[in-house]
Amino acid sequence: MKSHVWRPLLVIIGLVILLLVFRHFYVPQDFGVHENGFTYGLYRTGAVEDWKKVTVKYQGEESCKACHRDVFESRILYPHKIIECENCHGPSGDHPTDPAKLPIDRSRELCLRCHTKLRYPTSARAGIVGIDPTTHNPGFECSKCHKPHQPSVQFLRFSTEDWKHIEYRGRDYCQNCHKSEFDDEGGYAHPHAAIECESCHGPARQHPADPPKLAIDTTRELCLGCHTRLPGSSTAHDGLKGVNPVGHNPGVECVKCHNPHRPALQLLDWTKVRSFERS
Amino acid sequence: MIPGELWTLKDLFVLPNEYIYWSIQIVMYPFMTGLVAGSFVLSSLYHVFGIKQLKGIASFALVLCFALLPAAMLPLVLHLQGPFRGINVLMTPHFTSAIAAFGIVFSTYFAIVASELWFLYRKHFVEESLFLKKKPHKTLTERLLYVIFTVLTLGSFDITQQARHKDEKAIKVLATVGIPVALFLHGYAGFIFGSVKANALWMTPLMPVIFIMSAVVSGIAFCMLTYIVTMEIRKFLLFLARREQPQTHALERREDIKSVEIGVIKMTSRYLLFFLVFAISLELLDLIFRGYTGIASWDVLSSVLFGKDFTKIFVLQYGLGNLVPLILFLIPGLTIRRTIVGVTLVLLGVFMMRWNVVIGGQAFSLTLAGYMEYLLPVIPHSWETFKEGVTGALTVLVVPLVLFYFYAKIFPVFPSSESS
Amino acid sequence: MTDAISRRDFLKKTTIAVAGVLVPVAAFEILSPDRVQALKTGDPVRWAFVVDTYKCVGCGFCVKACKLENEVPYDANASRTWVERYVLTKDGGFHADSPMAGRDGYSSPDIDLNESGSLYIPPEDIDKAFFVPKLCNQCEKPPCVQVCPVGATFRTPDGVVLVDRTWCIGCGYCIMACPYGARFFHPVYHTAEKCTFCYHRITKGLKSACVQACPFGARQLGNLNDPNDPVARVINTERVGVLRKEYGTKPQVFYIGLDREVR
Repeated sequence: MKSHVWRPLLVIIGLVILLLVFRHFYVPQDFGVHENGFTYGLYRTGAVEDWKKVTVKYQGEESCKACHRDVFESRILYPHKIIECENCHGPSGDHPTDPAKLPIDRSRELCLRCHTKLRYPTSARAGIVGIDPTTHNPGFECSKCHKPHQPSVQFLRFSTEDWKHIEYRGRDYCQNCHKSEFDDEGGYAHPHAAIECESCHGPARQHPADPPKLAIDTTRELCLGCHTRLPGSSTAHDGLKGVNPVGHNPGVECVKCHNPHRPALQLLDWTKVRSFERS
Repeated sequence: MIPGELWTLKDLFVLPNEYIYWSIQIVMYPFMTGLVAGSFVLSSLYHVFGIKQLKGIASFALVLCFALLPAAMLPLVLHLQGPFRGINVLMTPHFTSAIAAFGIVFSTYFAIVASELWFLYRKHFVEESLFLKKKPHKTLTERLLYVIFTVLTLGSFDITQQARHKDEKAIKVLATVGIPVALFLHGYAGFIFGSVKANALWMTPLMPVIFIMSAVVSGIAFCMLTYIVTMEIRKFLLFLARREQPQTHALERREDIKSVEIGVIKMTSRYLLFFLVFAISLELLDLIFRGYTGIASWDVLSSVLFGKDFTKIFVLQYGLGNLVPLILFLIPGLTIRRTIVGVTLVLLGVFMMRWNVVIGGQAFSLTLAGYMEYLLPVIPHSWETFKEGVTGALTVLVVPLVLFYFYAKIFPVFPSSESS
Repeated sequence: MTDAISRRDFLKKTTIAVAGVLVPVAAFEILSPDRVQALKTGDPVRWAFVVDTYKCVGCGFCVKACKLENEVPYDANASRTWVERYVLTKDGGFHADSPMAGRDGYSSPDIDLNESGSLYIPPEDIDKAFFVPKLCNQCEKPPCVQVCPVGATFRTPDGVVLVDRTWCIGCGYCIMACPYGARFFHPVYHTAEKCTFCYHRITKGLKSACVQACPFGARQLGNLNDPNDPVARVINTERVGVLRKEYGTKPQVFYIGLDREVR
């Protein structure tokens, strides 16, 4: 070993020892070969515990039944009984502690998941009643007419007589007369310009012949259908501005401060706002 | 955004989780390790097989190899989603994975090259150390160099004939042992791809061999190119010096340099040709077998090979990268200029081979009914587009050259060099 | 004639012989194939999954539930589980898609062809069309685990393949090695991500999020070590298929109604 030839080897051995010392401190103690052998079982056992500790978000409808018995009883046996509550309302998590309320998604997209008619032979999809979303009241929420918990046709929100007459005409029909509503100055503006007039005012049918006037719904509930901001909300309404209905001027109609046709905040009548508590 | 989504364009039926995850840096890695393996083999051809004409390029190749090694690790570090956890490969290597071999092979190879360089330049370290020790007033650079050279002697100042003889033997042993290790260093990269049964293009036992052959080709070509460029720079510097001080020696030196070049180049190009032919034969063999057996994946594979990637494969890689250099080197009366064109095209061909394997293998979906297009980021606008784009690839190419420049100050690469 | 055994003697000897043989024979337990299967591993549980493609309607509630339960960013264009649609036409045409992994269900008859736009197929041209939910097959011989260079992914004794998020270096080899496209890079954690059968739920006696969410019973999770488990029953007694059997991965997800065109 006196020969200088071995010096590089000594350097290398020194480096290897350093590496092994570092390894002793760096690699967790529970890392090793466990069941399933070296090929499939080299791991840190703590990782299994890490995965077991993930919080459970979806509780299952049995846990909803305890408080929401009325909904359960109203839900007729078939067909929506097969759908878990949380499929539409999102995971309940620690509800009612957190989140306090689960979102109510009224978008068409939710219903169209199953109820776009697709005539697919050999698939159970063909057996589900459905519509063509491009022709069946486009732009309107399904829940305007259909009750999600009692979806059968006999439970439509209108009597069968009314049902025969439901006619949503679409905003082009409104524009024939209500021109001022559509102009840039005082008409209805972004982002409510995307909402069909009849979503809030009801179906036009043969207006102005019948009905002579359409309803003007000023209740909070109409606005809060979209503009409730709830933690954990993951519906299509994500991205919409919203308020906590409990804290934001409870009992006061939204239209007292907000113009439903021109809802942008900078158009708010601030003189009216100051007279109320802000949340 | 899913990593990979930024530069992937899906077409037709592609699974939701499929993206081009292995991008330009994974193309660069086998390219760089190929240069490493090739330059080492070139250096060993002199040290092991005693091919005298390669003496001039042998040291050059070894130092270049040493400069390429850290640069070869760079693409991996840049690619990893968790680069700081990269050492886990050394800490808990799962040897059923080809990538786990990286840690051991790379370290072993590093040790071999470093040791061989030490034996090769030991005499120079000792001489420089003693010379600088005697010097009374050292500049800052000289003081730094003194420390470096003294440390590099590893405490041994024996440069007698006997000691030098032992050095020669050690070099021979290391150069011999290093050849299979160098081949393994690149062969395992081929194994990484060839063993993935999920990928219809990669899965073939020929992959490790194809990779090794093209690695040797690229290494030799790269050494030749850098050698020529360096010699031309030296000639030019000598020309400038001669203009300022028209002394006699300068003129002779220039002629000397020129003749050494041609001999080395001619010898090296023969080896280049041999490996080039071998590499292209294997690739054509693989293609022919796939077409002949025509398993389920052949439909989508042929539409990629003969359709979307036709230019990249047949024009760039096989045509410009293989056929044209073959012709250029076979024509008698080889000139330096023709060599430069030839080796550059060879390097292009090898690069395209890596590209066509890595990116080509991700050009079609697992469904065999869809495609993915790779949009290489050019102008970086974020860290991700920098490291996984053209800029990242250029960084990887430039780093070894920068390292080589500094290494050449400590490991002089030319036989009768004047110390700077 | 006196050599012939008497009838009485014969009956006596036969009875003794038969009784004598019965003793050791009783020691052999007649094992049913179910029980043999169940005794294969020492662990009390061996997870397996059954997908009934006749029942799937493409509503996508499973994908939505999976994303929310397992904290995969909702708008990320990847999912631990997904639903594919196949539409096979009378002229031999093949069309398939999986828009946003089926997260929003299938609310349009137009096939999403990514860069090639979308394609409307008139119902009268369709031979057969169906939906195929897919997820990690939790293979018995997972190629993804084999190729992990650092031991960051592994198979638990009860048969689920997991990823150690603290150890994964993000090389992507496992993603390339999976023949089923089950893996991807998590956009937040930057480690490999895949379906875990909702390991945090099944180890508490709950069902996986996707199984619970499916209104039509197209997804079922069960224990192969329990011969009375309904899923084990289906696998052992009904005709089921697996994906890419030729790769030797031994997947533990079994399909009812697996069409030849499923990829």
